Amino acid sequence: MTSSDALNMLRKHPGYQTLVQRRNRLAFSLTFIVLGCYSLFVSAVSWRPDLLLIEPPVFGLTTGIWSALLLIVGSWLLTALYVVRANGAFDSMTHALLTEVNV
Amino acid sequence: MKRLLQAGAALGLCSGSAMAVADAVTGHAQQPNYTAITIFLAFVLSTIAITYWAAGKTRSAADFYSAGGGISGMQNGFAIAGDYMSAAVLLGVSSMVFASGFDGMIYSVSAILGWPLIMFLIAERLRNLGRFTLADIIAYRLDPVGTRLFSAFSSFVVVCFYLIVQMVGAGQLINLLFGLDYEIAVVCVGVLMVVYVTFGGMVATTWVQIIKAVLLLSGGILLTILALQHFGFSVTKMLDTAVASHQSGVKILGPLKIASDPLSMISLSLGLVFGIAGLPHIMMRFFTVPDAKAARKSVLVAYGLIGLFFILVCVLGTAAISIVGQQPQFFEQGVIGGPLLGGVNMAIMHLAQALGGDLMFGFLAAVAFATILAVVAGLALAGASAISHDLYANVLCKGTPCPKTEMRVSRWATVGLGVVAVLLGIAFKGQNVAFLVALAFGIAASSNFPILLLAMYWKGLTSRGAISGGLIGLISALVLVLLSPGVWVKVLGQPQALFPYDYPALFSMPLAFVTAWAVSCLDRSNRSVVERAAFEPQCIRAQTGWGADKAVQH
Repeated sequence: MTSSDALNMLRKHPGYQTLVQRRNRLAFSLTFIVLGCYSLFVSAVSWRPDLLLIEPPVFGLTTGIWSALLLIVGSWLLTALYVVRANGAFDSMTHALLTEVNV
Repeated sequence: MKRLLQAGAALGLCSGSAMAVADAVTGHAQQPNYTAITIFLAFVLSTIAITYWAAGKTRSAADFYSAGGGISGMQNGFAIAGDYMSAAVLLGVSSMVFASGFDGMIYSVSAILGWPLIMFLIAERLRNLGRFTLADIIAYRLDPVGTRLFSAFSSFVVVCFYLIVQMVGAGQLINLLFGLDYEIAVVCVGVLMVVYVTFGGMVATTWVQIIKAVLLLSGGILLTILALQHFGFSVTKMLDTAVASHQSGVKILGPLKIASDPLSMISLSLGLVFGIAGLPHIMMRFFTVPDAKAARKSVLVAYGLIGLFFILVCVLGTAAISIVGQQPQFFEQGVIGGPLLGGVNMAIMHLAQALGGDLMFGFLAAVAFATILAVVAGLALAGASAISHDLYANVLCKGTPCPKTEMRVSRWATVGLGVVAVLLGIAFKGQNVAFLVALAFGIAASSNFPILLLAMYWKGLTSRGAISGGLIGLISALVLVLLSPGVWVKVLGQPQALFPYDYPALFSMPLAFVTAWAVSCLDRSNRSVVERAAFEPQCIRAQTGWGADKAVQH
């Protein structure tokens, strides 16, 4: 089979469409969440710094420090979520797809 | 903004005064710090041994550029972290926290939030499409000569600006810590960098990064434990003491100087967040792993380490506010609140001295120098690849170079780059080079990044669009930085800045996107039709890794 045949098969394969759709949906939603939270943070820094100075009674640190820490740790957890999904389900889908087309 | 620029550049130690107090910093000028020298020599010897071992494994161009794709995800994660955790971060961010508190944390968040985005949008496509350099992706379906020329040029510019900052910083730091002459220090860095890269290629460079990342992180963790111990392991107590002893008091818990005007803040964040994806020495690390799976894993590991490191540095900066800020011996002429001994970036070094004595100080000094050396080696490799893989192999030889000659070109390119780096380092001695970091990030975010993103995601991008968009981004970033307060006023001595912001990304990045889009849409050439049609096969390869470069077997 030539490579252009394989490409054609891949393109029309319903498995390929599902893979691309599902992975893109996950990647774009996660990007949106991370950028959204970061924009909120930057907006607070730029226009409402008073919001970052509140000290929650329980935890001791200010809201500003908590939100910075949460941004770092939270975005790392989202990254981990993506890796688990992509290296697990999506990669098995890709693998199945490639084996089928190359046969 | 001034403070930010200094800290962002981090190694913008103003050398004039720094030299004068160099003796005072080491505490005993006649007796150099032997811990520092021992640890540093151990680092140099072990990395040279690794280079010797790696030289045996570096036979082909693929070995040289990407270690044959044989680095594991975990190793590459450490190496990426090593590339990103420069001495600039260690010294610059900690001193930013020391000087203005929460500002340093805002900067930290902005400086690392590009990593999750790289993971979601770029990493696996990059690995599936590329071989050795960023230009591979841009030229995948576009004009191989034009786009490569542009991309190699813009990568080269970013690498050179970054190199200057590191060389000047290295010269000053070594001069400060080891008492070596500035010129000799710069030449030493240049020679070591050339040795690592020419003989060991990507294999040696990767291992130098890994060792340095481990050293830097363990140093950071150790110092943090010592610092927390000082406050009875109570973060609240540390923070309260910091607020009590800082000149600005409780204001350091909020944005102090960083957000003096919102547009500056937004421009800075854009440049930092999207700039990472345009840094050639970082992006080329994705080609050292065997497949997309390992590429993802390496980003996860790298981001975890980088995040941890930035948090540690923020804690250390906070601890320094009360520990260093209360002891007169760390200030010039012993005036608390006056200029810090050794320059604005030395807060963390003084903290090490205060908490762990000469031993800790020496360790941290050696690690800081090792860090510069490792980053410089990574930069040299990226620059050499742009010359030999993009310019020589693909533009001059039209993609069919003689492998032996290509290897020779890449090695001589490294030597040439080493000479240039040393000359630039000496030429810029004593100059305020802080603006070059803003420039490198600005150019990366406004020329490499937009074109890379469009090449991977937008079917309509054509060669003309890519080249004109990228060039407009590059030139506008360059001109805006030139006219900014950081250069126009501080370096060129003009009374009034023509452009009010130090960071160009807010304007130059959208300009690059819009130009690339408009020119591509207007492009009706025959070539553009072919290029648009080639998007789909490219997309399939990017999504599935079908036909992607595999690891070379050793």
